[in-house]
Parts: sequence; C-alpha cells; structure tokens
Amino acid sequence: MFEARLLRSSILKKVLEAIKDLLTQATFDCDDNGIQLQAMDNSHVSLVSLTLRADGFDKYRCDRNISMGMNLGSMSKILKCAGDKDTVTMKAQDNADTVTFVFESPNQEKVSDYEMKLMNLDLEHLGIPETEYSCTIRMPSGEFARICRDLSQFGESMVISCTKEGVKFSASGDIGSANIKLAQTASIDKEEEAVVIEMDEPVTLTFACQYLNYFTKATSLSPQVQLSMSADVPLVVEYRIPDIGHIRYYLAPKIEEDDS
Amino acid sequence: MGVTGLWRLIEPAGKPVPVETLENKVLAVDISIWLHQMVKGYQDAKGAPLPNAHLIGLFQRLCKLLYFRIKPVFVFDGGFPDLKRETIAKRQDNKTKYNSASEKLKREITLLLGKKTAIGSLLGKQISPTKNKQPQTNNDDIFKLPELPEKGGYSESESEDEQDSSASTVDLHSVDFDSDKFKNMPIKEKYDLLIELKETRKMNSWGKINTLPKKSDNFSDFQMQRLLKRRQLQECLEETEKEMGDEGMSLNELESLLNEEGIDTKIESLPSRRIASNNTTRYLLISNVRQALENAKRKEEAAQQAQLQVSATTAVEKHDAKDIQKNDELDDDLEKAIKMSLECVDEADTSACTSKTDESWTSFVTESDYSDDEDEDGFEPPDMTSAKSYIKQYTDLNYKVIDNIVAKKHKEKNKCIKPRVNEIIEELAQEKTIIEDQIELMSSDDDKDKCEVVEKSSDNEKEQVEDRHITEVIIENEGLSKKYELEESNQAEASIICVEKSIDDVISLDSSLEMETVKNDEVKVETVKDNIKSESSSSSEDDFEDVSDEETKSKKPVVTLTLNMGNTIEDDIFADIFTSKGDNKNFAPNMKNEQEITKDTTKNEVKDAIKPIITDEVATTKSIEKCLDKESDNEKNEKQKEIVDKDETVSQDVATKQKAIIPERPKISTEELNTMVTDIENEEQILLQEKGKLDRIGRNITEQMTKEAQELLQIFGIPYIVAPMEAEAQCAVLEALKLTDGTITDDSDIWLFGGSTVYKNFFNQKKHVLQFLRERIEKSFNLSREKLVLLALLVGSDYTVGVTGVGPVTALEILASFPFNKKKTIAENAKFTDYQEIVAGLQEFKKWVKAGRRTDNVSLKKKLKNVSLSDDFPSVRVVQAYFEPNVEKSSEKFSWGDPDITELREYAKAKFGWSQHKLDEIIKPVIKRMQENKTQKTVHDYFKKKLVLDSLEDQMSKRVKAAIQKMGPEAPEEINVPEKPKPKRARKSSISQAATKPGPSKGKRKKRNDETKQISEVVQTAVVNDPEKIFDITVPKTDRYQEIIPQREKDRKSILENKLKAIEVFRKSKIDPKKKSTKRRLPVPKEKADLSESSDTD
Repeated sequence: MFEARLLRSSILKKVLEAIKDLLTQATFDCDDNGIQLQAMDNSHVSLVSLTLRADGFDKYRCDRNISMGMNLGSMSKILKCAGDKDTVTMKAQDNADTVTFVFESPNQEKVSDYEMKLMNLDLEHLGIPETEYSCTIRMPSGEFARICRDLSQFGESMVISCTKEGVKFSASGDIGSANIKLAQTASIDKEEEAVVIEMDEPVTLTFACQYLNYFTKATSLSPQVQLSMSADVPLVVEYRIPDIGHIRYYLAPKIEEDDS
Repeated sequence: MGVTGLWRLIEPAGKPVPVETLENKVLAVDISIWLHQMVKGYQDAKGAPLPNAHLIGLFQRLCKLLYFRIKPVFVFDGGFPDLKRETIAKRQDNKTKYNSASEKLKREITLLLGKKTAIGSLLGKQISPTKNKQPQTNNDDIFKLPELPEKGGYSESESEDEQDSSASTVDLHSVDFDSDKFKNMPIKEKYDLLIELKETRKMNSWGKINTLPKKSDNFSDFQMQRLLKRRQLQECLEETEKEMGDEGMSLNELESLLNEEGIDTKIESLPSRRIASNNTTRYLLISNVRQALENAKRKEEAAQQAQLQVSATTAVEKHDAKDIQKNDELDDDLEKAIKMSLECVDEADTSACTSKTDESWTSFVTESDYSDDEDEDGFEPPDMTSAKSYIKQYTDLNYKVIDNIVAKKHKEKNKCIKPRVNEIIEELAQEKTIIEDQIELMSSDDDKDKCEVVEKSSDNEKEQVEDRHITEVIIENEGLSKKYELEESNQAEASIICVEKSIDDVISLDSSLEMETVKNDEVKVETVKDNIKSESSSSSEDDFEDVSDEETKSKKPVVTLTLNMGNTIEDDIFADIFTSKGDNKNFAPNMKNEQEITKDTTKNEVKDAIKPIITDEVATTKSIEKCLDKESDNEKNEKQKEIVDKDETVSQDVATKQKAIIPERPKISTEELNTMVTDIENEEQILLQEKGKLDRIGRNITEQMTKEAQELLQIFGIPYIVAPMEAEAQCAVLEALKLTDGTITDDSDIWLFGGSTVYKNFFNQKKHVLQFLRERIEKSFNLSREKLVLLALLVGSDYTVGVTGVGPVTALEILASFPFNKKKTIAENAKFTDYQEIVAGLQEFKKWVKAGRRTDNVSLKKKLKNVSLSDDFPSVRVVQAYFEPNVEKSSEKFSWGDPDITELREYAKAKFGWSQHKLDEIIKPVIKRMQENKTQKTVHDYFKKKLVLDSLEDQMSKRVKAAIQKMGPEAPEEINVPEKPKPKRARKSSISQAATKPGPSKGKRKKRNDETKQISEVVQTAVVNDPEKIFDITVPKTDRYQEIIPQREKDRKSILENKLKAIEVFRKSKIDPKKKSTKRRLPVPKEKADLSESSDTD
C-alpha cells in the first residue's frame, strides 16, 4: 500500500509542469524515504532527477517499494482537475496497475478521485557519480528563465562561461549575437535575489537552449536556481522545492567536433 | 539473407534506440543488402521496377544518415566465397525461374487477350441485330457531333478510366466507343463506366482547376471543349442505354420470337432506319396491346371476380392463345391491338403478354426517358397516349361489353388471330411507313427540344425533359378523351382499319400535342391539371395522380429519376387495371367513389395485382416454350427460358419497386459470355500484377549499379570499402578493429561473423531502430557465436541449405539437447580440429537421428520425424567460413569529406531528373546539420548505465525458454540474469526460510524449534552487526552491479530489515506462539520468499 498526501496540490502540479514537456512518461519510484524519479528525455541528452522526501508530505506511507510508470501527459491532465488549494492524495495498492489521485477541497465539501492506469516502463537507472563541480552559480530562477528565453532567440545553443568576474551567457546565430553578463551580487540583502558564484576554476560550456528552456519550466517551484558546471561534464540545474525536495536537470554539453 | 528465422528468434533482445543518440557514431553500412532491397522494393504505381531505384534510395538514406550526423562507412560485397556461390547459384536459379515465369505469364496474357477478342466477337454477333440498330439510330441523330473532337474528348476520359480499378486496361480502349472492343464490352459495364465518367466529369469541373487554361483567351475554347466532351459522353451513354433497353426487349424477346416466325428476315431486309423505327413502333403497339390486355384482364376479373382465374383456369386456352400472342407480340404488337379491338381481349394470354410487354415497354420508356433521346421522345407520347386511350376506351367499354367479351374470348382468339397474322404483317409494313412519317414529325419537334436541351446544363436538361414528358402525358390525356370518342365509334366496326386510323389519329394528335407541349414547356402543370380534370374521366385523373408522382420524382437525381419514371409508368398501367377492378367490384354508379377508392388503394393494390399477373406470365411463357418446341432451336429455348427468368426477376423488381431497373436487368443471352469476359479480365489483371512483381524480383544487382552507388558516395564524401568477400564479415571485423561503433544491417549473418553491435530497422519507418548487442543475445539466449553458427547449420543460411523442417526454435532445442564442448572458445587462429569440435554436438545429433528409435527426448523426435540429413550435414566448411572470413584487416582510419553540392545538383538532375529546387529542399537541412561543428553529447556519455538486463523470458515462447534453460547449465548465472548472485541469496534464503516456514502447522513445532535454533544463530550474527553493516557486506558481493543504485539498495535494505524484524518477531513467538502467525507474515515480501525457497534446493 502506498499513500502520499500533500496539503497543497499546487506543488505536485508545478512539479509536473516542470517535467512534462521534457518527458512523456516516467517511473515514480516510491519507498520509505519518499518519491524519486529519474528519467531521460527522448533523445537522451538530458536527465531529470526528482526527489520528494517523505517528510515533506502531510502523510506518507509506503509499505513496499513500488515503481509506478506513468504517462505524464495523462497525469497532468488529472492534476489539472485539482484546485490549487485542494489536498491531493496519491494511492496505489501493492502490485497494482493503477494509481488513484484523490482531491479534497479545503472544506472537505468536494472530494474527487481519479484513477490512472500505470505503464510498464523500462527500469533504466543511471548511476550519477558524485562530482565536485568547479563552478556553482546561484541566481534567481526568474532571471535564469529570462536569460534562457532571450538567448534562445539568437541561436540554438548557448555558451555559459563562468569566470572570476561573473558568469556570461552568450548565443549567436543568423541574426547576430547576444551576451548577458551577471556579476556576483556585492551586498546580499535578500538571499533569493542574490547571484552567488563559487568557482575553483573557470569553465566554459555550450548547451542547447531548447533543453534549458524546458528546465526553466520549474521556475515556479523555487525562487532560486543553482547551476553547477565542470569541464566536459553535464550541467546541473537544480531547483530546490521548499520543504520537500528538489528537482535536478542534467544536460549534456555540446562539444567541439575535434574533441570527439 | 542471413540465417533463417534468427532475427525473429532474437527479436526480444532488440532495444529501441532513438536515432538521435547515434549522433557522431561511426557505423558500417552493409550496402549490398540495401541495393537488393531498393531494386526490389522500389516500384512505380503499376508495380514495375523504377529506373535508378537504387540511386534514389541510396540518396535518401544517405541524407537520413547525414542528417542524424552519423558517420557511415559503406561496405560493398566483394566476391562470393565458394560456399556462398553455391547458394547464390540457387538463388540465380530462382531468379531465372521467376523471369521465365514472368515470360510465361506474358504469353498467357496474350492468349487471354486472344480469347477475349474471340468471345468479344461472339458477343458482337449475338448482339448484332440490336447493335446494328444503334449506330443507325445514331445516324438519325441530327445532333450527332462530328468525328473530330471525339478522340481528344475521350483521351481525358481515358485517363479517368485508368483510375477505375475495376476496368482499367480494357476500359482504356473501350472508351473509344467507335472501337469494336467497346461495343463488345458487356453492356452493363459499359453503362456503369459511362455513368461513372459522367459523374466524375461533373466533379472534375470543380476539382480540376489545374486543367483550366493559363491564358484567359483560351478559356472559351476550353469551355467549348468541355462541352463537346460532355456531349460525347452523353451520347455514348444514351447509346448504351438504348442497347441495354434493347437487350431487355428486342434482344431477348423480339429476336427469338421473330426468328421463330421468320420475321427476322424482314427486319434484316428492311432499311436500317426502319428497323429502329420498327422497334419503337412495335413498342408502341405493344404498350397498346398491353393495356388492352390489361383491360381485358380487368374484364375477366370482373367477370370471374377474382384474379386467380388468370393463372389456373385458362391454362389450356393460354397455350393456343400464347402461340398467337407470341407471334403477335413479338412480331407485331399491332396484331394484338387489333385482336383486342376485334375480340375485346384475350384474357389470360393477354395478361401474360401484358406483363411481358410491360416490362419491355417500361424498359423502353425508361430508356428513352433517361437518355432523353429526342428520337425516342417522339415515340413516347404516342405510346402513352394510345395506351391510355385504349385503357379509357376499354374501361368505358367494360361496363357495356364485359359480358359479351367474356363469352366470346376464347373462341374468338383462336379463330381470329391466326388468319390475320399475315394481314397484320402487311399492316405492320404500313404502320412502319406511318411511323416514319411520325418520326419526321417528331424530329421536327425534337429539333426544338434539342436546341433547348443543349443549351441547358445536364441536370436541368433532364428535369426539363422529364417535365416535358409529364406535360405531354397530361396533354395526351386531353387527347385521349378525344380519341376515346373517335374510337368508340370505331369500335363498333372493330376492324384493323379502325385501329390504324386511330393510330393515325393518335399520331397526328400526338404530334400536334407535342408541338403544343414544346411551346407550353413553361406552362405549369397545374393548369393542365385543371384542364384534365374538367375534360377527363376518373381514369385520366388517376393518370394525373401518377403524373404528379412523376413530377415529384423528377426532382430526384437523374438516374433514379428515370428509373422511377419506369416504375411509375408501370404503376400507371397497373393502376389502371386496378381502377377497372375497383369499378367492376364496386360497380358503383358514382364515379367519385371509384376515384377515391382507386386513389387510396392504387398503390398498395397495384403490387397485389402485379404479382398474379407475373405468375401468369411465367406460366404462359413456359407453356409457350412447350408449344414452340417443335419449331424452335435450342438457342431459342434457352432464350425463352431466359425470358422466363427475366420475367421472374422483373416481378421481383416490380414487387420491391426496385429502383435500379436498368443496370440490374440481366443481359440474358450474353450473360454467360459476359461473365467469361469479366473473368478473363480479372485473370488478366492478376497476371499483369504478378508479372510486374516477378520482373522486380528478377532484377539483379549489376556491376553497373554498384559503380553508380559508389559514384554517389564519392560525391557525398563518404568513405566506402569493397570487402574482399562478404560485406557483413567486413563490417564485423571493422567493429572488432574499433574502426566503427556498430553496423547498420538487416542481415543476421553479421552475428555469425562476430558483429557485436547491430542496428536493425534503421530505414524502416514503420519500426523503431533496434539496437542489438551481442552481449545481450548471449546472456538472454545463451547463444554464443559458435552456437549461432551451429544454429545456422540447422536452419540454413547463406552458406548452407540447412536441415529442412527445422526452424529456429527446433534448432534451439536440438542445440540444447546436443551441446558442444564449450571448454575451448574459439581463438583467433583456430584450427580445423577446433571447428570439428564445435560440430561434435551436431555429429551426435546426426547419429541420433540416423539411429532412429530412441526413447529419450520423444517430443524432439516427433518434431524431427521427417528430417533427412545430408551426408555432409555438420559441414565444417561452413563453420570455417564463418570463423575465417576473407576480410581486410587494415586498421587505417576512415575520413569523411563534405558533400560536393554543385556536383550533387548535376548528378540529381541527370539521374533523377530533379530540379535544383527539389534537391535543395532535401539537401539543405542535411548540410546545415553537418556544418554544426558542435556535437550534442548525450547523458550516456557521462553517466554509465547499469546493464540492467531484464529477463526477456516473458517475451519468449515456452519452447524457446525451455531450450534456453536446458542450455543453461553451462552458465547458470546467465540464465538468471536479473537475480542476485548466490552468496547473498543463500543468506537471504536461510533468513526468509525462517520467516516463512514456521507459520502453518503446529504439529511440526518441534522440528521447527530445531530449525529456529539454527536460524537464530544466523540471525544473531546478523543482528550483532547493525543493518547498515549488513548492507555494506552484501553490496560488494553483487559483482554485477559495480555502481550503486540508491533505490535498489534501499529496496534491498528494507527487505532485509523486514526480514530481520520478522525473525525478531519469530524469536519472540517462541514465547507467545499465538501472535506470531499473524505478525510474522506481514512484512515479508512474497516474491523473495518464493525465490528463496527455490534456491533452497540448490
């Protein structure tokens, strides 16, 4: 028996918003500690890793570890049926082939439940090595979303280079080129609005804008985003979901032809 | 190609791979199989091979590869090893077989054509009497278009024909309606075709904007042409319709019966024009007769007060009367009319005749209506008018003369008719002349009609014509009343002359009326109605009702319209019959009552009335046959039978008010031949298709093709090598040399040559690209390269024929039963003896098969009942060929160039006839992709995937599973791929055993206590260490999983913990036995428990 209850359905809704463009289907692995999701996009260029800790739920129960393969399109359809303030409960029997979503309005006047068929998905977990990243950039998530959106107009790929001065995002294409530089915020009034750069050595990497734009769908989950980079290693874009967990996107860089 | 059935066997091992992930990989491409595929697979619309198919295909595939930034290396077949040459020779044999088969089919087709023309000519002869009339009537057609536009007009319709799947080749020729072929075509088909043409033409006028001329000046010409075309089509259609009608009437009835009487000679001797007119006049008269007959019938009915009378009672009378009537009907319907006037009707005979004539008449009318052939238009009104006049006469007469008539009937018939036959024939001739006059008159009318018709669009045309008919009918009614007066006086004399006069009158009346109608075209029907009401009797009112019906129906689509016309006319007649019936029955003095009754009941009762009449018909026709047996030939009999058939069908038609009378009316005399023709056509079609197919299959890869392909590759800057021998072998070696990352091929031979990464279905858009890894195949199927070779020996491949009757699954079973000694894996420089060792298993198998009776392995034995092994069965040569292929082993790296766009343009233009624009459309995105100097890495480049080899067992069949299991013992871990390695399992099993076993029975308590003591020792050791440590201990033992998957580890950990808890509970349960059974079970996952039980036995 698996049961997880969230007081606010909005969190789950936002999580789904954040992944459903990138993934069409994914396996939710549920165990005592919470819910985890790891999946690659169709072209295997990026990887999503979602963690929702058990303690972040209002109520969490997982007798046996279960993996629920879900069609994210269907799931998001169901979640759209929930009001933002509704309580949402996910339920599944052991070895069940369906999962049930129960939405309760705050005053308990309306209770709706939706059952969704589960899918049999390949269990393909990637081992993600613990990496010490040479650069870590923390910045407001809205700012990052804006940068990605703006630069994607100029080209398909975006160069992120992190130096002592700050971080530079640049793109070039048919219409010209664009550069956006962010310097480390001098005085930290509000932590959320600060740009904080921790750097051991400068890194410059190229990424596909398309995927970064997918990642920024998670902007509403967190006011801050953290980018971690090392040379010739996937970029990590992490959004911390307050009180409950995080969502991490890994994006493989584009490498100059000669390097291969 | 490849090993038979191997792909299917290992299909589950394939993993769908997004093409994007193959970016930047160096993949060897076995192009030989491509060329084969493309040469044979690419076809034009007719299934014939396409020129340069291999190059177009190659071009497209190259673009696909380059678009995904795959670096291909193309490998061509070099020579063929001797072994393969043998099999190739066999293949060539097959090809020549195919080719010769194709030739044979060609010959058959020509033969069929000959047959068809022969049958066609036969058909033509049979139809000739009627057919000859058609063109001649056509000659009468003043508005026949000049010859000139015909060809042009029909060329387009021909192209439209091609789209007709049913009629394609034959119709092509046939649409040229002057040709013999077209005439010989089954009329129904012809008709259908024309109708379809017409329909499509309408549609095309909207759909085919392309055909519009580009210059506005030409537009009027264009329109004119279209008009001409349409007219032609219309004409043709009319012609066929006429033919069809003729077939219904003249072909079947007239011909045979005329022949009997020797009148056919007359027809032949008559000028063609007259024949046509004769036909129509005859119809005219028939209709009269019919109605007269109906009247007679009415009287009869009135006299006998039942309809049954007709069928049974008059049987004997019929025979005589039938003879006469046949002669009459068929020769001249006039006769009957005369008889009618003279005798006041032969009841039974006439009724029978009426029904027949009804059919023919209706068909005729429908025809004429439908085609709105003006010639026929001219004839129609007299038909109808005269018919109606007769009806009216007789209805009026009924009251007066019924009794007399009834009394006279039989005798009169016999006596009167016979002597008059000759007279009648003479009269016929007279009539013909009269009718000629009539025609002239009509034609003048027609002129006007036509002028109008031509001006109006086809739909409107018909409606108007229909309207005209209606008005004509109405006006005829007016005329009828006049005629009625005339004829009343004449009837007293009851002579032929009177009839003729009346006819003359009718004709004159009609012509005048027609003139009026032409003028009055626009006059509303209602006014006419009023006139009629004032003038006409109740019966005429009935007529009018029907007319109004017709009116309403005339608004329906054209085809049904005309058909309805036919029906309604039939209705007319029967309605009349009925009214008389009603009259007779009621004998009411009040006309109004009669009218009402008739109005109410006509429709329903018409049907009732029709049925008995039809039964009569059938009976009469049969009896007619009997009578005429002496005179008639077999042919005639047949035709008469057919007539009977037709009558029956018609009766059904009428009963159901069938709307598609024309197309469904059987073409009796030609039916069989037609079916033959259609059969032959079908056969021809099939043969043609087959020929195309065989031609394609028979095509071979020539040296030229290879050259051209290489040329194209050079333009694209793609490296290729020509393998010394087999391309697959070379591909496998390239991969082994790390020059490539895999091979794109659909040839399963690659596995035998040692390929390890194969992408299948790469260019199959319907399927996902499947990635096959040798590792995976080996692990899931226990099929090493050696075993695959052995499998090939059994099932057959390029190098060996295999064992007949052995499929891949059976082969697996054999391999499982007769394993080879696997101690020595094949080294690079393996020797001959090693190969022999590989084959040893199969040698044993051979012995086993030859030995025959063995009790072991019965099921396998059963399957191999019919297996015969050749002497050299486990051929070491084959094994050697697979393990020591002749390949190029240089490890020189490949390099890729950029496509030479300008050269490519020229090439595309020359070879494919592509414009620069088209080429650019295809090549631009590819070039753009190629010019990106950055490569998108994938997650896989950084995060190593755990080789999670899920068990494929659920995708395998039972037999395959069993065979694999059997092969298993050599590599036990490989069988249970997903399971945990042994050491851990052992521990777990002991633990879980403790958890699960103790539950159920209390009787074994003591034994269990002993067990639990042991277990608790184990547990204590485990419990001493904290759970974390157990976790640590166990993990390293899972040698398969070097890296830690958190979820899995947690999973395991939690299970372990649960078990420990369970054990704890169990220990406590010693103290409190009642609790344990409930608590104990909860936390332990069942699966694991089961597993451990099974592992216990190890």
